[in-house]
Amino acid sequence: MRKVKIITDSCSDLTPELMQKYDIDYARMTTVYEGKSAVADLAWTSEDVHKFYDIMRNGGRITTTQVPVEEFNRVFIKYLDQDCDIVYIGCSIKQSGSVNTATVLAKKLMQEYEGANIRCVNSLHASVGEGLLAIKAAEFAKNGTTADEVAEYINNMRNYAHQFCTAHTLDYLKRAGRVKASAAFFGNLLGVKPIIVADADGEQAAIKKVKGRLASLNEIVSLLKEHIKDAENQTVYLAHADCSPEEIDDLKNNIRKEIPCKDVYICTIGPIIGASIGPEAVAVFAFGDEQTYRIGER
Amino acid sequence: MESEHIDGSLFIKMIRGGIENLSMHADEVNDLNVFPIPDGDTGSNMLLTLQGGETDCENEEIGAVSRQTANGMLLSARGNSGVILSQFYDGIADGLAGKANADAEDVADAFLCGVKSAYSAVAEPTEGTILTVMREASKYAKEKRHENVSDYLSDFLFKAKETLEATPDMLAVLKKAGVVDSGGAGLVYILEGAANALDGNISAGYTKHNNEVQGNKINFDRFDENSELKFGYCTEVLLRLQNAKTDVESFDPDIIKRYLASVGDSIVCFRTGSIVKIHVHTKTPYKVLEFCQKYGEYLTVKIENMSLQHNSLPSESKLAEKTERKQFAVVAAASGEGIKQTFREMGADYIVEGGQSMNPSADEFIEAFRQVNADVIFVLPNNGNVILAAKQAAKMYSGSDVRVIESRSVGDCYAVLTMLDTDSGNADEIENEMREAMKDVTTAFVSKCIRNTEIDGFMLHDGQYIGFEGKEIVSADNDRRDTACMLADRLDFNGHEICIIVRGEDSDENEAEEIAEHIRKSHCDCEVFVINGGQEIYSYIIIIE
Repeated sequence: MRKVKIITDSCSDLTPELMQKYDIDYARMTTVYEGKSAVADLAWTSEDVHKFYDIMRNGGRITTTQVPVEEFNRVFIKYLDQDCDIVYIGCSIKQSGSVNTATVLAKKLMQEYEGANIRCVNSLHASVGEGLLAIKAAEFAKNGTTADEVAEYINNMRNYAHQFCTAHTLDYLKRAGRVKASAAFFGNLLGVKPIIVADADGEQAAIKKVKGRLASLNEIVSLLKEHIKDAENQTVYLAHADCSPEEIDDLKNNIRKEIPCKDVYICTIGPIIGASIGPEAVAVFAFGDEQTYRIGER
Repeated sequence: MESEHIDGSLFIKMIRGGIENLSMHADEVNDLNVFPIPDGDTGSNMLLTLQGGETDCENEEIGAVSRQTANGMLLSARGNSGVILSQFYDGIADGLAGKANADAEDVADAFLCGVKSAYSAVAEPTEGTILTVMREASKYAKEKRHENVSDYLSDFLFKAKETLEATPDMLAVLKKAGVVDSGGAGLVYILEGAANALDGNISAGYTKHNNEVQGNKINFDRFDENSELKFGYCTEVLLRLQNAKTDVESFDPDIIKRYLASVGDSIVCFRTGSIVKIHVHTKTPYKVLEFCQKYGEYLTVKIENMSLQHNSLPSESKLAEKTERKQFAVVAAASGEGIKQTFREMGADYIVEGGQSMNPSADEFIEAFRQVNADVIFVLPNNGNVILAAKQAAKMYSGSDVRVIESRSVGDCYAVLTMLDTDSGNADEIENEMREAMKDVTTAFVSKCIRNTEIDGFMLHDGQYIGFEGKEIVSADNDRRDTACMLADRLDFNGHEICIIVRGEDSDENEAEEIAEHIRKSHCDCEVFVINGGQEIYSYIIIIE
């Protein structure tokens, strides 16, 4: 039986530690700043987190590109050559075209590598929401399941992963065209913080306004508390874009106080998600009840 | 003239007498100002309200005439005293309903109805105000026997003046400011004028007032040889339906309304008896005149080029284009270009011009309701002296479910609009959320003092800056920046993370930033923003939410 290798991408915001632990690899996207492109490296080996976000704080505009087809080719072939099947868990297709690119390439590679199976799964998520599903897939694959079974499993799981995110402003997401927000988010909402979820269709949706940073940080915890299931056996993931250590400490303590989870694991929001959502964004992730909310539906 | 009975035409004379007398004393009433900054002028507000009650019918039954007067006043009511006055006359009209004429006893009973109606307009009546004056005077005069209405009025006035003099003992703010209640004073002047008219003492040559009490100076230079007609003409006519031209009984003013919509906007058109009141903004007023004359003849015609109007032009302050009917709309009262712009961007569908120094009328709110064309309309009056007019308008307008959110300041409105979210589609829920959003909002002001006075232990002099929260003066200084900083130091930021400084038209951008920096230093958890509100009167409005 062929081993199933789980691949994700730069949007997953998984730390190198987690990728090593769960035997996950990722396809690299790129960022572009002032005409210079850089590999979106989740290990932050060639870039400093703080410097990266300072560029944005000072008004610099960083753009991003999806996974180039050569990069998919590189990473897929690497594992096909080791006789692995592949399940690629990609960023929501509402956010990135990577899953589509990968699907086209996969068809071609499956003809070249007889007997190989490559499944490309739209996670409907971004950041650790996507990463969380990659971890689930890796755990599931360890039981000796096929790529098809893993893909099927993740397709069934993806609406049970939850993201509750807040940022200082929706401006970055709006500018990047990566958020769906109702008219409630028009105008200069000085000091008002959006709460952003991944909806049932994989849209990043601003669902709620909260007055002030502290209130918004409390709100994401209380929303997670409301939706999380089987907390005792789960790790809650917390991802942030260069927030102060004190703020993250407080938030972590608040999660531990409110939610009886196994652990709270802290990730850094990587260059791709970071470029879209902006500095000081914070999100919490875990599995819970079924996400049925669709923005635009009453 | 010692008349035992008064009829419709005498009633109208009394109304005109009231207008005459109040207009002579309006400035005096305006100056009965508790707080040493400019505010909604009670005298002007009451005068504009009363003028709306003037009708042109003569020799009719008092029941019909008083009803017509009251209906007009309900629409023109502005400011709290204006609304209370209109409710007083509304009650009087109820009391006189069906009567051809009235004797002293009828009038006494009608005035008692008026007092009851006035009280019902106010959720929490305050003693020491116009309400107390009308109640005490009506009660006192009712208990006496009178030969005629003139005698009744002199008893009424005797007690009204006595009560007015006592208002400072009933209301601490009046005592502190050393004034009597302005609304009560206005009422005394109105009824004194009415009594004079009844006794034939109308001062020489009463002339009909037009609605320009505010003393708008028309600047003809605003429309010169090369000007383009951008805004059209504000056209207002009173049309008396004629039996010779149409079936007056069954005439439906919608015929006119529909025509007006084809030639203009900002349309108001309703009939009271055989008179149709028409208001429209159009570039072709002759078409309006030609059309309407098919059904009657004109009682009055007023046509003004709107480019000359010194107050902001309708197309600036309002949404000009007619929109499809919406589920929800928000109407907010505001003044100051920056503030209006901000509120519009934040989701207010229509701005009614007005606020601290110029209170909008019920009529203006009703026009706003028509314009926004929505199933549910949320109204933000944003000033304590505007709430009653907004509520009165809401009660009178049947075209939508109108809900007044009692916002008392720019800060309240800002807080409500930032949190506004109609996505739930549930009006009750949205209303609750709007009320919730105003809770715990503090709004404080820096303004220039307009007279020498001692208040809250501060010796204030004309031209000095004062910082205040609610009606309490917190800081005073000759320096505007210091006044603002001292005010900020005294405010309670506990548990608040957002501070918005709205700078007024007389303020300075750098200075505002200095004040913001001052606040940031002492409250590092607070995000401080500066917006250019461009408002009059207040150099700075500090909102903490």
